[in-house]
Amino acid sequence: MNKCGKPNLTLRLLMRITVLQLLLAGGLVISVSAKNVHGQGILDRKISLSETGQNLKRVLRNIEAIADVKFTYDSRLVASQRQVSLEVKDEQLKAVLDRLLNPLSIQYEVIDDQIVLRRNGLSDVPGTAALPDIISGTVSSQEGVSLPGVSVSIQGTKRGTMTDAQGHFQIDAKPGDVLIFSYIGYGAYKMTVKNGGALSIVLTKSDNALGEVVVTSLGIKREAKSIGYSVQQVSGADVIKADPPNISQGLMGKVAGLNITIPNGVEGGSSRIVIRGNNSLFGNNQPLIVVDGVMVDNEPILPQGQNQSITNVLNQGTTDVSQPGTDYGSFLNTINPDDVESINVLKGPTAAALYGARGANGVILIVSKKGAKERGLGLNYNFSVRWNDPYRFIKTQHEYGSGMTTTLYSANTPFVKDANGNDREFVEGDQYGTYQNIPGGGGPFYNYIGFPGDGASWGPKMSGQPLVWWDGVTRPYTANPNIFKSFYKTGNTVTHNVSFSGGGDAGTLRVSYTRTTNDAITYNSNFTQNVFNIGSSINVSKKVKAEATVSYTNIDRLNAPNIFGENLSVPSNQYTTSGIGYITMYHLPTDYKPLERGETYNADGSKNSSTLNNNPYPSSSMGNYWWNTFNNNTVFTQNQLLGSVKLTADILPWLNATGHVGIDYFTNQFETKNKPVDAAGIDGDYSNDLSTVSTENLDALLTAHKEGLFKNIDASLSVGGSYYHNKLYDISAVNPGPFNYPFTYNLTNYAGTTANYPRPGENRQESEINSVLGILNLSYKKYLFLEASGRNDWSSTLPANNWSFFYPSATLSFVFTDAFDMGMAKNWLSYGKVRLGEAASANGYIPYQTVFNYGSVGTAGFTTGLQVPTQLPSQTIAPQHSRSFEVGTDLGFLNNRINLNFTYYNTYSYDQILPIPIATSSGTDAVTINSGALRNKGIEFIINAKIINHSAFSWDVTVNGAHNQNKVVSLEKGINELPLGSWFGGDGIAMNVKVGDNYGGIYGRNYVYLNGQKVVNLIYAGGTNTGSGPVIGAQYAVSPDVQKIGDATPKITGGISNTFNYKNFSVYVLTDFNIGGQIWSGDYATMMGQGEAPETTHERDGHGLPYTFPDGTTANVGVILPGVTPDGKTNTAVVNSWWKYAGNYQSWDNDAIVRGNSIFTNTWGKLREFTLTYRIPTSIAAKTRIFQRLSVSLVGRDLFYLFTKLPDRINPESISGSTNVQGVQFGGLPGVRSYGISVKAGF
Amino acid sequence: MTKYIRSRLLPILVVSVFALGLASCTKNFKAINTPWDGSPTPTLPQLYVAYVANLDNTANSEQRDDNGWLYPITQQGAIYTHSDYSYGGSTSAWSDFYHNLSNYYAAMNLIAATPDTAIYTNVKAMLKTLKVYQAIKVSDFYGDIPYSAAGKAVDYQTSSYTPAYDSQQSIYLSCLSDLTWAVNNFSATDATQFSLGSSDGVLLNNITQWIKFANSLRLRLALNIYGKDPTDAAPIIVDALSKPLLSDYLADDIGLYSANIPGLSFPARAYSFGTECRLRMGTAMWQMMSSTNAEDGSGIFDPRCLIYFEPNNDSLWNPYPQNPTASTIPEQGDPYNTLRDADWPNKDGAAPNQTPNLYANFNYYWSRDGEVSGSNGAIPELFMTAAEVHFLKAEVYAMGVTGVSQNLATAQTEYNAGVTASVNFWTTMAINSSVWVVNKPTGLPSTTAMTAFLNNPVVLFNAATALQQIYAQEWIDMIRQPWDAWTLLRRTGGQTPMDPNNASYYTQTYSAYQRYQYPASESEYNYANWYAETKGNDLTSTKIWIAK
Repeated sequence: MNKCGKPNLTLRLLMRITVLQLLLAGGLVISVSAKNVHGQGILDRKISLSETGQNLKRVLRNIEAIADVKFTYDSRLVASQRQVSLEVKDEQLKAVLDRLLNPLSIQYEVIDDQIVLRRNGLSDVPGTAALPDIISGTVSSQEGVSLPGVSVSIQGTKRGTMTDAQGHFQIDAKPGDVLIFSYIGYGAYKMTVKNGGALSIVLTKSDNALGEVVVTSLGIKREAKSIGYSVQQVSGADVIKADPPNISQGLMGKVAGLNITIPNGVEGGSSRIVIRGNNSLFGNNQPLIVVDGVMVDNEPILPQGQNQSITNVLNQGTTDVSQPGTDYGSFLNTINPDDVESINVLKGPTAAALYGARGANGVILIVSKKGAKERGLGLNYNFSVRWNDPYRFIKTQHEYGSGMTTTLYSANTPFVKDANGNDREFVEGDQYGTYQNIPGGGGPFYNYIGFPGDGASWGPKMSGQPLVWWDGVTRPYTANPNIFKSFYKTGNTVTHNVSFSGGGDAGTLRVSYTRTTNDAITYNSNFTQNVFNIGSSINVSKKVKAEATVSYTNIDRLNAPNIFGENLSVPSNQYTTSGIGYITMYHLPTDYKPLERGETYNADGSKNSSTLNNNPYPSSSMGNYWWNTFNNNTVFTQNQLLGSVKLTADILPWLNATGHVGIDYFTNQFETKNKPVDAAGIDGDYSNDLSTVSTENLDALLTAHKEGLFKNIDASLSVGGSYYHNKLYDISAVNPGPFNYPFTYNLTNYAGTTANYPRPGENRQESEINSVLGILNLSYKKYLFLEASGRNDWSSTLPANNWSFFYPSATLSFVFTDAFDMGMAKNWLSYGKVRLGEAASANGYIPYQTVFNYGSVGTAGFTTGLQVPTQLPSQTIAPQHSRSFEVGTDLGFLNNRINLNFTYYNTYSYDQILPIPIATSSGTDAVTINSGALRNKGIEFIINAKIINHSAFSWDVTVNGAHNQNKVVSLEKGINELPLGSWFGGDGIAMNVKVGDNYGGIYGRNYVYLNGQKVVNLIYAGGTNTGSGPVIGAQYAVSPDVQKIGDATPKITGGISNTFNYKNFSVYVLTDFNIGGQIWSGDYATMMGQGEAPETTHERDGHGLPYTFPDGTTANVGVILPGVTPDGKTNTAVVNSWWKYAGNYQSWDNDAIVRGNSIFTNTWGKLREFTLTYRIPTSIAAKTRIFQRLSVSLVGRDLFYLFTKLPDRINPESISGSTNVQGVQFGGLPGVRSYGISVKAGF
Repeated sequence: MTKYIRSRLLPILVVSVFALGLASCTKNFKAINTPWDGSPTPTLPQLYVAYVANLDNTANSEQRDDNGWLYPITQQGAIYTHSDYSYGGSTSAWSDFYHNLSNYYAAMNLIAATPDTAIYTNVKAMLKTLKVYQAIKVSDFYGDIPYSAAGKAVDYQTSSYTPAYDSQQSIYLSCLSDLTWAVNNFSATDATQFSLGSSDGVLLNNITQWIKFANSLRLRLALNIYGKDPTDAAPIIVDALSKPLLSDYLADDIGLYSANIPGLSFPARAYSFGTECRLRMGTAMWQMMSSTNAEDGSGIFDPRCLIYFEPNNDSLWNPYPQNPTASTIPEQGDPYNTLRDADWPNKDGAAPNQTPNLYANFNYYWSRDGEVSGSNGAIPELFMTAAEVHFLKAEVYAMGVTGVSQNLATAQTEYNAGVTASVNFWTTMAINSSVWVVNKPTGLPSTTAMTAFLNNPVVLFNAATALQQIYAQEWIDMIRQPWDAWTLLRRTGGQTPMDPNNASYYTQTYSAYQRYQYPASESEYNYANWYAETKGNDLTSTKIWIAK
């Protein structure tokens, strides 16, 4: 319907985001940026300074602050200097330094962004000094916090050490050696050994990966410049900047190519993360999550031990996103963002080759905090409170009330009469009663448009007429300005985090407790999450170090709402209930008055079920909604223990070893207590469902390294192995009532007569992968790096003859700015690297699919039966493969003030293991084979810029974006198209994969065209297009087959963040955007068809063509559907405008109807995060003798959409479910914005 | 030395550890990946139980989806509007049959692999009989279908994935051959025969009954094709009449009984006869059961009318027009609402939103029978009734076939026996049903009443209209087998009862429904064979081979 994605539009949207953010930054930006943006170099900066009799060290510190520079020096160099005085005004720094340091016989030199001081006559050039062998010092952050675990190495050698808990280090270094200090999240720093004595090194936080150490596969820390593939790091602090509900949402918009969607739902729901597109046709497309070496999935949590990916594979194409189950969240919800040190996103199989099969979709590495020595008590307390405000409701018209076809009968739209002859409110039976037929002989309306919901609002104009409501009360017939509001309230989320961090010679320790409570925006829905986390780094001996983390998480979630459920049955009570999205988007007419809640109970507290008419619309389950909401309680409890121990040993100077053991053990329990609906307390039900899941993984790696193996070549070789084992067991049972003992909830309290209750259910899953691997690293002159790896996996999920499979990878990194004399170019191109990678990856399958197993029969009365499976397993399947190529560059400009990271990738995933459908007449529905291929290719870019870098004011901008094309290359021979899933099946919407198309095409019936014109069917009393008698209606002709009507793949996704620092204030603004990609909006189709959308009143308001009703009355409500009749003549028939909307949008699955009219390009941009933070100056905090640090932030999340192409305020992010079917929107909850306060204090 | 150990032995040690690790890489894989549910080695009773379970599945889903179409097509009932279920939209009969073919071949292969195959002759005959029953049911829905090459995908041969179509004639003949083999090989006296015992949910290993069922089925099939292929059909009819046939209304009605299958329930009945089907008593059936249109029911002469149907909310027996006109008053109301469990007479729904139920309905208990928790005496899912066999015999004698001379007296005897068996059977079903409370029959019609009934002008055997009467009574008896009534309608060229009023409505609305379209999986995944069969024109209006 709407096309998007042209470059000029994309550019315009990006510019629009930037401009909006600039406006947010306000005049502040404009007023302070003038002097610095034109600075040509550090020494050109002009400063003013007045110092009298001041210690040199203090003066240097002041200059650092004013000129925003960094001095590096041996502390003894300045300690011995006498006091100095200096008075300068608006002078260049060079002149100031000359004046200050020359008299002191101190030389200076600018290296990168540092000014290195040295004593006159001594050179910092390597090889010029002769001083002690032991160099020691401390490393701290700009905030003065000691940094433990900083890698200190000698350039050109493999010698190195780490700082201890106090940030202290000692290293054997000869004069002239260049020390390299590197630490996660900080820029690397080089220092030439000059003389003895303690060094004091201050590392600066880095927003870019150019000089960083990053965590790569298997937790190996490597210099960014040596890495030949794309990896993006986000610090824990950045993730939690705006108090996200979970890590997934904390990462939104921050990582190029990380496509995160949160399905339509309330806080605590699941997330779906995809990196570089879908690599599996039907299976899991989410990346592997690795928490301190423990491998987990971000699968949605499902009852009865179900696994969504396995379900998707086994029930290929049958996913119905009109009925997704209750969303209990997914794994990333349980990782406490406060405990995260950093997150590294390894994109694609190149980066993830070393995680093998499970890393084929990329890897998200989460490193938790391990503690550090801190000033004061080392105690930190973070508090946040966030209010979640449902504010963005779908627009409806407020003029015409409920009714379905009454608008067709007369210009004076009739009311239905009650038994006393009074006008009464329209109720659901009415549309199948007096007014079920299309007037003029057209027969029942539902033969044309299917069955509308009770929200149908094609009734009389609302002007306050007295009307008998369904409860017998006469009320004025008026509009409800917000028919949805009574179902929602403002929710809140409160988080307390207390942590202790400290360290000593033995190591570091961090202990943390976090408690989060949430009250949802829906009623009687909340959760509490407690997280205990211990992280530790222990120096076991001089050569052995251990890192250990253990995290215990407890979640209690009451009534995660089922958004979509349609008439779900409640076992014993013999009534049904429906989800909030389904009810609100389908069953509320514009004159809706929220009365049912008050009709829920009888006087004795039992359910008011003496009549079905405690609500106007019985079949919508409306009458049960509030009873269910408050009395049918399901508590989801998760207890999770996640532990990891990593041992690192420097066995020999050239040999080290690491060993790691990780365990993830959790239980998921779903306990349902449905209160008896009767006063006696008998007609209730109870169920319990408990899953236990354990994952163990063990890794070992032995690394031999040799400097100067050959001339200018350093080498290291690692060999290792890993073991991964996953096991699930679930048991569940149901007591459907009636109860024996009233109001007593347990499985044995069953007084019914059905023999098999409490009916037990069971589920199991188990798999194992064992691996050996080798990694070869070669470095030539420190600017050319080759990494080659090979891995062999043995996967239990494959047939015995294919258990074993091997795959290699190779990457090349070339830092050309180090390799070549860049000449003058160095002035603007500070850093340049190109990287190249090619990797293979292979994957097993889901468990239990290689044995021909006769399945049990579930039909009651036949449970002793065994039947041939309807999906034949394969005893010959081989692993599915993926091959990935990527090339990219990392560039730093103007002393790395502007950094660019660009990557192109091409991933080909083939030999997919698929249950390929075959004709059922063969005796089975599908046979499992290796077939089909997908290709993902695209680009990713990240731009970091320090637009202003002044000590008093700074402005940093990060822009990231990604474009991915996800093509279906092949399926099985003879099969051109396979279903992914549908919305309502039948004549509803389907999403298919089709050879040659993008993954996730949207399919449905569409218009029929004749000579380029839409074909209109005219409806006569005698039938469609019969031409007998007057035209009584018109509908667009519908294609006989389903056609592709949309493509859900976005063109570009990304985010733009701006950080402004002014003295102790900082403002952070993050917007993210999704450009292109289409959805079919069920909400739009429903609202248009049911006459609720504002668009539908245009003709009813008299702006249509003159039209004569069957009763002879007239009004200007007519329309001519543009197009031609089947004989090719221009359509000139005027019909009631009802046909334009109800006749062409509304239908679920029983009538074929045009679906392309509800396809939209889902382009949107959102102000995702906003924070305004004030940090109390350290000096003031210190004076309190209580606080070491204190900051207060105002936090806003999801504040508003900058732009969206969806009409009528339809929620762009209300996609149904987190399955691979991502192109359907329905039952959208309102947009929710969050705002709150966050306080972070250090004691 | 220490240095030596460190530098030389350690790598050796590490390599050794890896080597050991490699050896144990796959140690537990087979155990880990063995399915925890089901079994790779089923027994014959287990496969047989699955086979019968499959038949139960079909019964459930088929009625739910198809009742709203088949009743108005056969005119055994009327609908006031169409339901959500599209015509032929349910493919469960198709998929269940072919899935069951896999089970059938698995069971047969299991038997063939046993050294003492001979003791399984009875089981083979049972399986063949059930397979025939299911195959013919599907063929009568679709016409030509894949049969001889179907259901063999488990051999993993690519050619088995796309089975060719067989003509309906060849399917019938093949099935008749199977039934003949079964009838001739069943042994009720061979003590060495393997007994399925209670695993035989159909007839509890009662071989005598099995012989009757197989032989009666043979008679049904032979008569189905007699109009098209009398040469093949006649000898079979002759032979079938000479062998045991179902005849007793109490013992000889074959189907799935909850009494034989502990735990059996019929969960789809609430849908099959509930609001969703929009079913009402139709004028066609009414004309066969009431001598007048008196709405107080005073003209009702057929005792089954009070079992099959019920009056509207005002206790009026006013059927919905089989062929409605523009002046037909729209129906509404919700007579199948479960409120009626507690408030039986209320067919309008609850105040203040009552909507009047204007027309007589299918009996409320159809939707509650076997569905209510703890109910017993539920009506079985019927495969074949004794009454039908009487009618089949009556048909043979009424028209005469090669080898069986026309004998109207015998025809009348069988006709009367059929009517009596039908009345007695359905009355017994009502009596035995625990959910049946209001207006429940307390006993079988007296001999006097039955005599009066059999002498009612509509029922009384008339040589001139014998076949039509036979078909009509068979059609009435098949109230719960509308698919069989549809077959009867088509094979007799529409000689089952039809409401003559506004007949053009039926012609326009339903006469084009001669068969179902093949499921989409055929055109998608078995295209070449599907195209060879249909030439791309897979039309519902194409008459199947047995249709006149």
